Amino acid sequence: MNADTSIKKNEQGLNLSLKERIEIIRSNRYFLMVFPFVMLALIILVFSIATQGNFFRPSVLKGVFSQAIIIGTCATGVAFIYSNGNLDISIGAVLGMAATLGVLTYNATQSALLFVLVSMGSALVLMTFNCTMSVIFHIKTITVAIVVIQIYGAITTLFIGGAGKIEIPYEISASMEDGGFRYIAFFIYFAFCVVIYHYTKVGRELRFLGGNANCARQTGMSDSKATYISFLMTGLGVGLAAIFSVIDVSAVSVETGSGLGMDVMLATVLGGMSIFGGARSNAYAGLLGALTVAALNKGLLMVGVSSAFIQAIRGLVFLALVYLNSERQSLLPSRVQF
Amino acid sequence: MSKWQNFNKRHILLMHAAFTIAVPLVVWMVMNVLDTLVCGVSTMNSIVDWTTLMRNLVSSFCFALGLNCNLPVGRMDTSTGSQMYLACILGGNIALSLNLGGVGVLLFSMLLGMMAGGFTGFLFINLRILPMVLGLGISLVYECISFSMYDQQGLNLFGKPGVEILSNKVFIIVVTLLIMAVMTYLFQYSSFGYNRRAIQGNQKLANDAGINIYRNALLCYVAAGALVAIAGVFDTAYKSSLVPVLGMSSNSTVFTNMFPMAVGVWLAKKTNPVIGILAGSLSVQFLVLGLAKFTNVGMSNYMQTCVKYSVWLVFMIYRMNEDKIQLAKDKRVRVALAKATRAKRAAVAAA
Amino acid sequence: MRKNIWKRTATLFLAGVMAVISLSGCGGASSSAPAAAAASGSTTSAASSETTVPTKQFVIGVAEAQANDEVTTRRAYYEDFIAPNYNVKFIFSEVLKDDAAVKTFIENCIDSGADAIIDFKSNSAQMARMCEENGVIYTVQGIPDMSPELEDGNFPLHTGWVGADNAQVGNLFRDWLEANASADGKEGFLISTSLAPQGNVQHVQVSRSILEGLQEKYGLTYEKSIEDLVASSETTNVANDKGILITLYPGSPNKETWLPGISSLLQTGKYAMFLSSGQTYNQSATAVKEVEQAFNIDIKVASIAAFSTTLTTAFNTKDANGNPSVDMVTVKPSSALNACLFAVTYNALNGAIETTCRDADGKPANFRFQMISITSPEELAKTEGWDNKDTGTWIAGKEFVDSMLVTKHPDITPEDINKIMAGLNVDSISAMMG
Repeated sequence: MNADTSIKKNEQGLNLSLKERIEIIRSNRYFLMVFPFVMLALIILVFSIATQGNFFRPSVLKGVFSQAIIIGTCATGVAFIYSNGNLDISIGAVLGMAATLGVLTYNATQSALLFVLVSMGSALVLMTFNCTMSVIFHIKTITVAIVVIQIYGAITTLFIGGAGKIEIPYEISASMEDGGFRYIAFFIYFAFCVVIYHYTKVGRELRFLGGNANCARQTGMSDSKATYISFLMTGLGVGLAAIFSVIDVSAVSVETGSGLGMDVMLATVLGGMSIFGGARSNAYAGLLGALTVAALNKGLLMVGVSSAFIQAIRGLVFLALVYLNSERQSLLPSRVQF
Repeated sequence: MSKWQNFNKRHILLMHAAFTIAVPLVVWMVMNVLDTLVCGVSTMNSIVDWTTLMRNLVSSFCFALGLNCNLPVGRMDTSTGSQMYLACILGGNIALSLNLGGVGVLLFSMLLGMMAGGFTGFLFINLRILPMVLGLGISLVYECISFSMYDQQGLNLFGKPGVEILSNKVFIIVVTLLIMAVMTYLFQYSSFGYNRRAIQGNQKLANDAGINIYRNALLCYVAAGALVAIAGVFDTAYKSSLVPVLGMSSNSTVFTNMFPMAVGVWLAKKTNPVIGILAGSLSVQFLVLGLAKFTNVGMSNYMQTCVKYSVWLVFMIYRMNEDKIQLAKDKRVRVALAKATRAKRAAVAAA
Repeated sequence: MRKNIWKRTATLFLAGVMAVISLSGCGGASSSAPAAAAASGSTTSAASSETTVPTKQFVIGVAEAQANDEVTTRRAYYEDFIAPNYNVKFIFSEVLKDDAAVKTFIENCIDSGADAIIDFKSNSAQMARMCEENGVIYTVQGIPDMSPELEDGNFPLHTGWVGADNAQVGNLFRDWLEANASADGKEGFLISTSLAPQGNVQHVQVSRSILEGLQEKYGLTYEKSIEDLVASSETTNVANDKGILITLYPGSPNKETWLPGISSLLQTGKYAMFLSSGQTYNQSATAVKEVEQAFNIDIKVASIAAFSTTLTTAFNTKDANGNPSVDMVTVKPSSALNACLFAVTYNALNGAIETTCRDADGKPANFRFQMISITSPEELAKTEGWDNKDTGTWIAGKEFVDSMLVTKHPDITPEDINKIMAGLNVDSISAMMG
């Protein structure tokens, strides 16, 4: 009797509305993991059809990856910062300064190795400074970022001087590019980040801190240690991205890295990760998002959309994807950042 | 308690007011001394300097006030800059085409600002996307709209009939006072303001207590849109034109105006947010104008930027740690009192 | 629940309306729109039955460095006039901030099937190399001096440079200064050198000409060389033996910090001449006006400009002294510049790069155009209707463009093209425009 009643109730309970079914699918964690991949694949498919297969050429897809690599590298690193609830939009200014110091070093020493080491080292030092301001002096990371964007930018301009741009010989950047430096370095860094983030205690702690800082602290996790680790990991990525940007055009200018902080945030969110971290964070969202943006830009241009439209379409697509990919909160989302 | 502490306690309002006035006054005095010694000119050298100060002050004040509508409540709206561009370009050009002069430009820009902010708020409360993230997407769209309209020329106020009023000192003072009156009422004495402060304390509790958090958020966005539009109009009056931007460059306007807002919020503890932000904006303007005088002695714009933002960093270090500094001070006072008491007792015991 | 559905529907509807407005408000697409291709000043319209439009369509990417009057005019000229007349499709970029952005744009154009690139931003061997690797013609707006690697390198598909005759531009400033500066030089001269420290040749040339003009007029001896002064990236008072106040102010007028810096100098009340090597007359207008009123002085303003309503307004707006708010501008005949860029590129696309784009030494050719000086509202009135995108009247009409094309003149050389460009002045243009 009881079994018959419970079966009847179950049958009644299964009458879900379409909206409820969609919500169940959306809340499924595998959906949230797969959705950004599906969207990227869909974008490539749509543009391939619209361009009669031209978009699917290997050279075009390689171009998409090449254009996404700088943002993708930074976004992979910045995922560590976002995952424990911090925000840093100064990575563009850090990249610019690291690239400038690297190029100045090369021009003084003619050593590609020193160029690489100084770029990476500078990025690490600058990110450590940002972190120290936050950890020691308790200033919110976003505030530190807003201040240092201007300071680093001004110092970079002073270093670069009146010329507005300093160059390295094309042969050096060509040899590094032909040797596949960018791709090899990126894949090593990406793999390193994914392993640290998803398969080690460090990554789990970062996500725990981002999800519930109070609980995490009470289980003995050190907020400041985690913050330093996240900034150092980002520093590595930004240093690499600085080298990539110099190799790309054999030069660094006063505009190098400008606006990168917001582009990285855009890419991260588009890749399916919340910029306020938590359990749903992942290390590959940034790369996915960067590829999506690059594919969108290239595809829209290839189908003949006016440049004036491209940004608006990017914005609308961004909003739509974010809406579809985000958990609907019962109240209004908010986070005190100041 | 010492006489001074006693006086302080009895006249607390007076002390707070004096502190709020003292901060911009001190900044002005310091910059004046530096300018006079190093550059050979005072910070406020001529009537033109006063006009520039007033115009930049109202612009900075309005923008910082606009940011303050949402930021303390946990909503960092990165689309505020793009709202300003859209409102000023669209509203300003409509007003100019109707030959409505400077006042028309101001009113129409404000109206468009309210609509742009309101739409952003509407999307926010319905889509429930994080404000910072929503702001990114909205910036992209708004920037594109303001860029594409009017042949990418933006808003050009130079030589247009009736726009001189935007540089008129009396007009600027009237507008500032009006904004102060309206915003003080809204923030401090209206149910909107009370609800906003309740939500700032705890959103869930406020919601459970029956406050309509959605309407309040929407109104905050509308108010912010109107304020940044006013800021944009006065800024355009100074620069003669407002050139549209792309690539989320409008965010830089948001970040630049966070400095006066930060100072203002700190000063607001002594008075109220509106007066605090006005004093904060004034302080920052004195700093900027004072630094600009160093151009005469060859200091580059970049050095001035470094100095300005270094001051902000030092201020933030102080602000975020002033309670610890106060704790250390209080501890020293307690230790000194304890030592004095022990010494007295020892003396009595010895006697 | 029902309220939520309505809210969501309303939200999506509003978002859709927003999208439609933004898409429709953005104007036409990148390809040509023949609707506005009205008759140009000197030749036939697109609809003329005598003109045959070439059958092969070329695709040309245009890499833009900024967004201003000139860019809007160029876009209208290319889309409304050149595209339908010569069967060309243009792909315009957004504002490109640096070389990396230019590279991305060129890559995207190549993937979109572009046959040529006109580059207003970069002037870089790297871009030429990339175009070379993909069989794309590469034309630069600029001068060879700013890119020696490009000049000396081997890039068969690089057509050359099209730019202003900067020495002539400098002479326009010098001549005006000679006629308008006071006899004793006591008025004080503020010179905005813009991007001269960064090597921008036009800014260098204009700044240099102004300093040379002042030197000649007053017999000055400067303590530093003119080259060093112009290359300075700090605000510099030019020390001279006569104690005449000359101040150089560097910095891009597009930066937010430019106007406050210039304002603070003007507000000392020590300058009655403000000369700018960049297009700044509009930005500084309010600051200049207020200083004139406060100090009761007449500040003379000279600047670079482009034909636009802004320029007309500036000349027709009187300052407190009853003078126009700008006293002298040098204007580029925008459509002529764009026509030359197009012609050079089109000739290369038609296989004539060796004959039409190489100088006597076999290097990519350097095509120059002259700028026009305007010193009064009356002179400006003579140019009314020139390069007007609303009416489609262009200085460089069909006849002018055809005169530079190898498809119409198979024996044309770079020298011939330069002669055509050098022949442009107020009188010749007035004659062309009828």
